[in-house]
Amino acid sequence: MKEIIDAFFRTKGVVNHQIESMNYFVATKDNPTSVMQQIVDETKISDDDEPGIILLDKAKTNGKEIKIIYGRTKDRNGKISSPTIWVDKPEIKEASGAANQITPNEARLRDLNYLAPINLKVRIVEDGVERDSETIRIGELPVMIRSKICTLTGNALDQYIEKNNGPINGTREEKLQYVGEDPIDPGGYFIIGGSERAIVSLEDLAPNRILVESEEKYESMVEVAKVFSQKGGFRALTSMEKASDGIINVTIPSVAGTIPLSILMKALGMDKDSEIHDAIFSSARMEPIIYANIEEAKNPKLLPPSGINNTEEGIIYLEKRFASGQAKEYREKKISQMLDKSLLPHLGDSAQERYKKAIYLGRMARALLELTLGMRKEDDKDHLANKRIKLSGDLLDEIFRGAFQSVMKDLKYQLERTYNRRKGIKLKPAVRQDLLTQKLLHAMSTGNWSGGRTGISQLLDRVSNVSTLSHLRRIISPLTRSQPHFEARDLHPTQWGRICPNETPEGQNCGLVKNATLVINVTEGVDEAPVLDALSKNGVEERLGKSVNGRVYLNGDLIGYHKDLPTLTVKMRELRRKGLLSDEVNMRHDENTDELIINCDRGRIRRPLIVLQDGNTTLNSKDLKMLETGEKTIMDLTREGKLEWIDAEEEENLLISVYAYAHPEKCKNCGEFLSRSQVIWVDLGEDQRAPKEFKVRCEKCKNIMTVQSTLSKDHTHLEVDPYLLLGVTASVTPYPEHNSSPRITMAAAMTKQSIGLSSSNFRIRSDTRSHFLHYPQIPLVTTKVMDYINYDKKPAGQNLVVAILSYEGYNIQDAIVVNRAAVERGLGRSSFFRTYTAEERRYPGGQEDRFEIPTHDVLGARAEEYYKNLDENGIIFPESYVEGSDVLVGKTSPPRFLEEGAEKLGPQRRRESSITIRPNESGFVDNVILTVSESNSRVVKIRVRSDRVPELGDKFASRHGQKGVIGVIVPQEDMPFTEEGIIPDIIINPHGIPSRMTVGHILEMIGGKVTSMKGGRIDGTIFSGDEEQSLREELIKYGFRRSSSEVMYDGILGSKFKTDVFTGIIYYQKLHHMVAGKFHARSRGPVQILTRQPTEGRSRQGGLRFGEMERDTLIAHGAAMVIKDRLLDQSDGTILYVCGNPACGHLAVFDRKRGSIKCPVCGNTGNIHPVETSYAFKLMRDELSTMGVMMRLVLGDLR
Amino acid sequence: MELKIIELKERFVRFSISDITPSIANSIRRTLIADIPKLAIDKVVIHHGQIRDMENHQYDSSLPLFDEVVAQRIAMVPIRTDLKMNFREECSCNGQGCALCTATFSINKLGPCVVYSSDIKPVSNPEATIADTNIPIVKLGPKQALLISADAVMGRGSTHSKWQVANGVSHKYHREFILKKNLITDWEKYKKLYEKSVLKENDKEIVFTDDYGVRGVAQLFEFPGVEIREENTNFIFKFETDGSLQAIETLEYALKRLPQRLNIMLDSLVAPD
Repeated sequence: MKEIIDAFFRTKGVVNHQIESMNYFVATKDNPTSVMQQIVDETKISDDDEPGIILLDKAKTNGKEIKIIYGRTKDRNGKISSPTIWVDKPEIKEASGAANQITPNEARLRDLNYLAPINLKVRIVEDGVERDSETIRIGELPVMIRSKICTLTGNALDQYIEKNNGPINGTREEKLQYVGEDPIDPGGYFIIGGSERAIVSLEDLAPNRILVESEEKYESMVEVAKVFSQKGGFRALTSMEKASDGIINVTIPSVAGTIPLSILMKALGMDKDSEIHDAIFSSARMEPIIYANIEEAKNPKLLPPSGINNTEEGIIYLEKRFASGQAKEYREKKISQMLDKSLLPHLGDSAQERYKKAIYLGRMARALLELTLGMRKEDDKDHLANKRIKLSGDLLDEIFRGAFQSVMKDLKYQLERTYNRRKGIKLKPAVRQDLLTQKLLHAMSTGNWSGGRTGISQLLDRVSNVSTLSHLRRIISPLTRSQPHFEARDLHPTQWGRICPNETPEGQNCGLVKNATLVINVTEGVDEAPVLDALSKNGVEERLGKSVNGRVYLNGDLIGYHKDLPTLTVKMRELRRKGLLSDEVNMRHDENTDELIINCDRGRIRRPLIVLQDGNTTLNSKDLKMLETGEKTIMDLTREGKLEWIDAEEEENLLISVYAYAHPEKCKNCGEFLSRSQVIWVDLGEDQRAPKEFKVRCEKCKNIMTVQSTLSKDHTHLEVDPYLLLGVTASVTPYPEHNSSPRITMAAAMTKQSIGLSSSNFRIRSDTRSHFLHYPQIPLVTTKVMDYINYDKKPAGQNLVVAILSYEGYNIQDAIVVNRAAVERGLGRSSFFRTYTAEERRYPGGQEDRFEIPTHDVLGARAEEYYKNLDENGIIFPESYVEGSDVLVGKTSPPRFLEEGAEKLGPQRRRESSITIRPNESGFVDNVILTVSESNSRVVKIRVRSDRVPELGDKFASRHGQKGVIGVIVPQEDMPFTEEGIIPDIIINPHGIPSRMTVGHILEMIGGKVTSMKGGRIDGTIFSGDEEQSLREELIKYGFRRSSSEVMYDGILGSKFKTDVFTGIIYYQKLHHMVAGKFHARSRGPVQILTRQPTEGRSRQGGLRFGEMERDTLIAHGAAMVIKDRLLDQSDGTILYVCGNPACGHLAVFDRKRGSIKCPVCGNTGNIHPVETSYAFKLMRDELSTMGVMMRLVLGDLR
Repeated sequence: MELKIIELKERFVRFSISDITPSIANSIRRTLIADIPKLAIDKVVIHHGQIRDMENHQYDSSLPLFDEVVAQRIAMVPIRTDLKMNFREECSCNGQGCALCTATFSINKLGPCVVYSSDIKPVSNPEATIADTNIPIVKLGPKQALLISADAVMGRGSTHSKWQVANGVSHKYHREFILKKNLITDWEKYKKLYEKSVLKENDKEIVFTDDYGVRGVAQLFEFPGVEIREENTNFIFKFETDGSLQAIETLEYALKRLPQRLNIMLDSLVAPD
C-alpha cells in the first residue's frame, strides 16, 4: 500500500518520533499540558513541602508568611490555571549584553549552544495578600533542531529572515538555504558547543508492572515477583520471593534484609487475616501456602508472646527490626520513610495509601503463587510488551526535573538570605539561571545521565545521510555489554515491524544496540480517565479484595472485574475505532489467565496495521486516492478505524495476514513476470462478505484479473507492506531476501561508513573531519524506501562495471582489482576535510592571545618561510597549499609565570602558539571562517581540503556485506575485456560468493546490467523487487545471455579465457577507511618526556612497538645485538655516570663550573665510569630513592 | 594476412584481420588504447580573487566545485588533434613549451550559467578545437565567474586516460554457431531475426556468426545442440574514438606505430662484447 506510506512520509520525517517526543516535552504557550509543565506542577522544594509552592521560612522573613506559587493551581471549580512555564525562541546572549535569535548554523559555526530561554510565571502571596505575578527566566533549554521551538520551524524562520533582510517571499527551501541549512536535513538532534549531539533512545523494562519469573538461587529454582515502581523520575524495585517452605518474603529498596509478606501487609493496615487471604486468593490450590504465610505472622518467636496480629504490632515489629534502640520519633519517621517512600512509590507517598499498597502486595503474591501452581507462565522480559522506549523528551525530563528542583531550592535559599524588611523580596536577582542551564548542558555535552548511565547523548554521525538517520533512530539497551544476556540479544518475534532484525552491530554490542524500523510510532501517553470511564460504562465493577477471574488492568493497575472479557475487548476496540477512545489505547485479552490488559502509557513502540473485517479491509480504494491527493491523512484513517497502530501487547491477540491475495507469478493477460509491486489491488474494501477472490490490476498491461483471497474471517489485520520490517540502513540493500542474514547485518554496518554527500550544506559546515565523494551516483538498482530517506538526493556510492574473476592473484581474499583508467576518470574520488580552530583566548590579568605573525623576539618563533602564506593578521589565505606542519594561524600567547620576578629571568617574552596542519597531512585551505565566540574573543576556523584518489588499500563495499580493499590498480590495457570492448571497473574474486551466499549481489549485478541498457531503474525492494526471471528475459533483449556471463579475453596475452565470466553493474560504496588517513612509519621522531621512549600513535609520529613477543623471537634466534638495538639504542638508551667507589655507587653529576664529573655523595672525581642503561632504569632508581630506597650500582669488569 | 574493414564511421570502425596470432591481435589492441598521441589539457591556471566584467560588475572566483575537480574535468575533454604536433620532451623548444608542442586555451565565463566544454576557447592554435561541445564542466551561480587559462600537450593513453583516443577497443575470435535444422526446429525465426549474421546455409544446417555486432546472437550460446566453432587466427576488431582523431586516422597510426616500436627495440640491439 504505497499510498499509505507515501502519505505518512509526506507529513512526517524519518526521525519524527524524536521531534514529536521533544514537542510533547517542551512547554510552549500552545501546549498547556506539556511534560515540562507537569514537572513544574509536581516539583516540591523538599519532601515535606506542597508541590508547586515555595514557602519561605517565617523565622527568616520577620514572621511574614511568604508563598511563591510557581505551579499551576486549581480553583474551586477544579479549573486549572494557565501555564506557568514556557520556552522562547533560541537565542544567544552576546558578551555585549544583547540577545539575538540564532539559527542552528550560526551555533555550529561559532561553537555556541543552541539554547532557548525558559520563562516561569510566579505569584507571590504575602500573608494571604497576592501581589502581581512576575515572569522570571530560570535558565535555558537545549533546542532540538526542527522541533517546534527551533528557529527553522514555522514562522520563527520568517521572523528571523525578516529581521536579517533575507528573502521573505522565497520558498521554504530558499529560506532554509538562506540560513545555511540543508533543506532536507532531518533534524532531531541538538547543538552543544558547536557540535551536533543526538540523544539516543533507551529501552527499559516497563515500570509499575508485576513481572513474575523463576530464578536460580541457592541451587534451586525460586519464584520471584518484581515491580519496578516509578513515580516522577524516582525508581524503586520491590521484589517478592517464595522460599521452598512457602513463606513469601518482600524486599524493599534501601532496607536491609527481607520482610515476611503477611507481617508487611498487617503493618500496612490489613488487620484481619481474612483480608490478607482474600487479597491473595485466586485458586483453592493456593490455600495451604496462604495459610502458612498467615500463620508465619503469628509465630510467637517473632514478637513474643503471641506474634503479630494487627497493624500496631506489625509496625512495632518493623521498628524493632530496622530502628531498634532509637528514639520513638526517629523510629516512626524511619518506618514511614520505608512504607510510604521506598515501598511501591507509584501508588502514592502518604500514609493514606498504605492499604492500597497492601492490596497491591496481595496481587503480587497472587501472581507469584499462580506461577508456582503453573496457572501462569513466566513473564517474558524480552517481550516488547514489557518494554518501554525512552526518547529524547523522556530523557531530558529526567535531567530537567532535578535541575528545576535545584534552581527552585536555590531560589528559596537566596530569598531567605537576602530578605530585607523594608524592600521585601526581589525575585529576579535571586534566580541563579546558570544552575539549570549548566546541569542540562553538562548532561548533554558529556552524555552522563542520572543513575550513572553514560553515552546517552552522542556526537551525531555525519559520515553519510543514512548513518545520520540510523543514529537518530537507534535504541540502546542499558544492559551491560560484558555479561552474556543471551536472551536479551536474541531477535524476539515481537520485534517484527518495530525493530530492524538485521541492523545491529557485530561483537560485544550485538543485539543490545538496536534500530527502529522505517515506520514506527512511540506513544506519548494519554489520560487514563476516559478509559476508566468507558470501562465502567461497559460493566467493569470495582471490587477490592476478593479476587475472581475476569480481571481488567489499566497500565498495570487492577481496575476491576468483568465476567465476559472477550466481548468487552471487542467493545473497547470498537470504541477506539469509532474515535471515542484515543488511538493510543491498546488492549489485549489474555486467554490463559482471563485478564484484559489495557495500556495507554508512554513509550510503547507501535506499528501500523490495516484493519480487516469479514475477510476484507475497511479501507477502500477511494481512501487511497484521497491519501494520494492529500485530502486525507494517516490521522484520518486511524480516526476512522481503518488503520491502527498496534503495540506488542495487542498484537498477541491478532491474526495478521502478510498478503491479502495469492500473488500471480505471471500476468494472465500479457504473460509477463510480475513482482508484488506490479500487481495493484483494485477492489479492496468493496465487498464486506468475506470474498473468495479479489480483483487486481497488472501494472504492465493495465488489465484486470482475479486472484484468490488469502484472507479469512479470522484475520483481524493486514500488513501495510512487508518491507516495513527493515530499518533505514538495511532497506538500502536491494534483494536482501536473497542474501544470508549475517551479510545484511554486515551490509547495514558498512552502509553507515560509506562516504557520499552527507549534507547539502557541506561547504559551509565546520565539522572537524568530513568526507565528500566527487561523483556520487544514484543507484541503478533501488528500493522503495530510498524515496523516503532521500537517498537519491544524498547518495553515497557509484555504479561500477564488475567482473567476477580472479586476476593474477591480486584479488585473493576479498581484495579488489581496479582499472586505472577508471580511477583517472574519477571513480571513487573524494575530498577529505579537516577543520582547525584557533581562538584568541583571554587569561586572568588582562592578558590575551593574539593572531599575528610572530616576530623574532617571540619565544619559539619559526623561520620566516613558515609564515609566508599568512596575511598581515596572521591568518592563512584560502586556496593556499599547505603540508606537513605548515602554519595555518600565527598566534602568540602571553608569557607563562607572570608573577615571578622579571629581574631574575630577564625580560618576559610572548610565546609562539601557532596552529599548524597535522604533520602527516596536506591539502588546500578550503575555507577560512573568522567569527566571535560567546565570550567575545575572536575565533578562526580553517578547513583544509585534500583529494583522496583511490589507492592501494582503500576500502570499498557493495550493499551486500561484500567488502574489500584495493589489491592492485591495473592499466586498462592489461585488464580483461569483453567482445564489446567493455573493460570492468573492478574485478572481484569468485571465491567470495559461494560461502557467503550473497545471491542478492548477483541479482543486483544483473539488474544493473539490464537497466544500464534499458534506462530507468530496477526495483530491488525486499519481497517485492523486480522478478529475477523478468530481468533475465530482458538481458537477452539487450544482447546478453540469460546467465549474464560473457566471453572475455586476457588483456595481457590477447587470448580468450576458457571460461565465460559473470559481469554486471553494481553499486559500490567507498568506505571512510582510507590508507591516506592511516599509513604510518617512523625512523626517528619525538620521545616522551618522562620515559624518553618513543611516543605512541600515528598522530604523535610515534614508533611501532617492538613488544614482548617480538622480543621473544629475537631471543630464539640469539640475535642479541638486534635486541640491544631495538630496546636500547632505538629507544631510551642513556649514559649514566656511576661513581666507581665500591662503598658509594651513586650517580655522578657534571659540574658545569669546573667542567668535571663529580660524585655528589662521596666527592670522588676520578673513579667515575659511563654506563649505558635504559632511561627507564634510571627512572626506577629515582622513584625508588623517593621512597627511601637507595639503589647503588657496583661496577666491575666483565669476566 | 588480410585486413578487411567491415564498418566505418567517422568515430567508429569494425575490421577483421585474418591469419594472425592472438598476441599480434592484442598488440594492435593495446596500441590503440595506450599508444596513440593526442592533445589533452595538462596544466590549468585558475584565476583567484575578484573578476570584473565590461560593466565593472564584480564577480567572485569561488566555484561550486573545487579547483582540482574543475581541472580534472577540463583535462578529460577531447580536443581535435593534429598528429604532426610534437611531444613536448621531443620538441625543438627543449621542453619549454612552444606553439609546436603546446596548444593554449582559455575559459572566461560569468555566472549564472553552465560552463560547457564549448566554452574552452583555443587561443594559440585555432585548429585545436573541442571535439565534444556539450560536456558540462561546472555550473556557476550568480556573482560567480570562471577565468582559466590552460595548456594542452601531446601524450599517450599509457600515461593517463585523458590522452586516450580509442574507447571500447576489443578484438574477438571469429566464431560460428552451427544450428542443425532438425534439432532446432524454430531456426527460421532466428534466421529472420539475425539475417545479417547468417554465414552459410544448406538443407541440414544454418551457420550464424556474432562478428557483425548484431544484438541477441549471443543467446545462441545457451541453446542446447548448437555447435560453436571459434578460430583464434581470425580476429574481428572494433573501437570508437572520442573525436580527437578520426577512427581511420587512429587505425592507420596504430598500424604504423607497431613496427616503429619494434624498430626501437631493434635499434637498441647491441652486439655482445
